[in-house]
Amino acid sequence: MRLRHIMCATVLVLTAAACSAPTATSGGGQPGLASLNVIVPDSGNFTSGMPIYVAIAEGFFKKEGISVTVVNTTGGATNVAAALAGKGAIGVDTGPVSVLSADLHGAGLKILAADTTGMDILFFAKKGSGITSIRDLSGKTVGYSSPGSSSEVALDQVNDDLKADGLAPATGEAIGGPPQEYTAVETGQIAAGFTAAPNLFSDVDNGSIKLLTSINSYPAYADVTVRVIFGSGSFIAAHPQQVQGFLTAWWDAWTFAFANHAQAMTDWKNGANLAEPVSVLGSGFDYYSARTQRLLPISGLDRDVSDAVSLGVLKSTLSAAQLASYTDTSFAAKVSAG
Amino acid sequence: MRVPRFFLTSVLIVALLAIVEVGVRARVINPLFVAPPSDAIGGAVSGLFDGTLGGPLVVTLYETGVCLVLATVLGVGAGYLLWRYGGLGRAFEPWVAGLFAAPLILLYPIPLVIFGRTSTAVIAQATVMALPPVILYTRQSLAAIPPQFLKVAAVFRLTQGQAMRHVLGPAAAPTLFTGLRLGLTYILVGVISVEYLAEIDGLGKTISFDYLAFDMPGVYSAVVLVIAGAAVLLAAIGRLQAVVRR
Repeated sequence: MRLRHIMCATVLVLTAAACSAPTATSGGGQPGLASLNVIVPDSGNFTSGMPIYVAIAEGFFKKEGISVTVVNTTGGATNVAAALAGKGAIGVDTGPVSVLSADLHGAGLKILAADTTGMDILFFAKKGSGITSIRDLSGKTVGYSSPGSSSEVALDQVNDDLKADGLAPATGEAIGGPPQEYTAVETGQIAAGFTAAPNLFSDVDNGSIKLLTSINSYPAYADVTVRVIFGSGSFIAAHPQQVQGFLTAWWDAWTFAFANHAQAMTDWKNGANLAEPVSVLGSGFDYYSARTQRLLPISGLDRDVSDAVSLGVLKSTLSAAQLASYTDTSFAAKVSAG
Repeated sequence: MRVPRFFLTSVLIVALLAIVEVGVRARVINPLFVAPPSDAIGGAVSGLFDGTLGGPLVVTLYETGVCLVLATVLGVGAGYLLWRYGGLGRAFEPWVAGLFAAPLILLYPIPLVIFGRTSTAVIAQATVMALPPVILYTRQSLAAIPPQFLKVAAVFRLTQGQAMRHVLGPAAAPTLFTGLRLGLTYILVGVISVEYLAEIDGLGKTISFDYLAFDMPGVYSAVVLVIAGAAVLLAAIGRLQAVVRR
C-alpha cells in the first residue's frame, strides 16, 4: 500500500513538473538566441519564403541574435489573424489593407517596411480550357487568396480592363494560396487562379497551365507597395532590437540572393522542402529586383486604401494621420541607411 | 412558489450577456475578438432587414433543411436495415461508429471537386457528417424496443406499416430523435464550416469575410442568426417527436 502511495506521489510530482516546464526555450533551442516566430503566407513564395530560408541558411538571423521559426498561413488577412492570435510577432508578404483594416479595429499592428513594390500577381488557366487571355475570363469565376489581399486587388484591375472593353467582369472567389488555386483550377472549380513567380512555374514550363497576365499587366501599380512587413505593436515596443535584427537579416538575405542566385535557390529549396528544380526557382529573379524588394519607401498606400474601400474591405478611407500612426518605418530607415 | 424554467433560463442568459457586454465595453475582454452582445444582436436584426444577413440566412437554412431531410431518410432507413438484418448490423455498426468518431469535415475538398463550389457540395458534405449519428441512434432505438411490444403487434395482426406507426415509431422515438438532434448539430457544423472554408454563399461565408475584415460585430451577428436558426430547427424536431409519440 505504501509503495502505491509513493508511486502515486511520484507520478503527481512528475506530472506537475512537466506541466510547469517551459514549452519553448530561448532561440528555439539555440542558446543565446532570441526566439522569433515569423508569419509567412507560403514558403514557396519567392518574396517571403526565399529570403526567410536564405537568411536562416546563411546565418543572417543568427548574426542578429535571433532564431526564426516559420509559421505558414494562406496569405492576406490570415497573416494578420495569425499575428493577432499570437502565432507570430512579425508577418511578411501581407497586403497592407489587411493590416490597416485590423488597426482600424484596434489591433495595434505597425507596418514596418515594404515587402514587394509593384503588382506581381499572375493569373493562370488550365491548358485546354479554352481560356487564353484575360478577355476569356469575362463572366467566369477567378480565384484570389483572401479579402484585401494583393491578388484580390489584381483581379479588380483585370475586371477594370474587362469593363473598359465592354465585357462582363469575372467573379472572384477566395480560394487560398497558389497550391489551393492550382487544385481548384485543375478540378474545374474555378476558371483561373493566381500565382506569383516562380510558384507553379514547373507547370507553366511543362504546359499544363498557361499564364494569362504578366507583371506588365498592371502599369498603374508599378510603384505601389502591394505587400508589406508588419509587426505587433506591443512586440515592437518590447523587443526593438529583435525587430531591427529581423529587418537587417531580411535585407541581407535579399542582397545575398541577388548576388548569389544559385546558392540562394539551393538554400530556399532545401529549407522549404520545395520540389521544383533550382533552375525553375531561379526564374523569380526575372520578376523581382532590388527595386521591387526595397524596404523603403512604402509607396501608394493611399491607392491600396481606395482599392480596399471599393472592394468593401474597408468601410471608409483613412486620413494621412491615421496612415502615419499605423506605420513605423524607423527600423527600415536604419537598415536602408546601412 | 415555483419559478418557471423559461424565466430562469432567460435571466441566466441575459445575465451572462450583460457580463460580456460590460467586459467588452470596459475592454477587459478584447473587442478585437469579442463583439458586445448588444452590437451582435442589433446587427443581426438590422442585417435581416437590410438584406446583408437575410439572403445568407435563407441559403444556410435551405442547405440545412435539405441535409436534415436527406439525413433523416437515408439515416433512418440505413439504421432500420442494420436492425432488421442482424448480421448486417453486427458487420457494419463498428464501421459506422468509427465514422462517427472521425473528423469527417476534413473530407470537404472531395464534394468541392465532385460538385464544384456550389450549395450541392455543402449539402453533400453536411449530410455525410450527419448520417453516422442518425444511423447509430436509429438502430439502437429499435434494438431497445422490448420484444413484448413486437409480440403485441403480431397478436393484433398489424401490418408492417401499422406496426411501424403505432408500435415501433412511438417506442423508438426518444432515442431516434436524439439521433436526429445530434444529426442537426453535425449538419449545422458541416454547412457553416464548408461555407466558411470554401467561401460558398451562406452565413459561413459572411462570417469568414467579416472575420478577415476584423469586423467582429458582423461575425457575431451572423453567429446569432446561426444560433437562432438552430433553436428553431431543434424546436421543430421536438414538435415532430411529439407528433410521432402521440
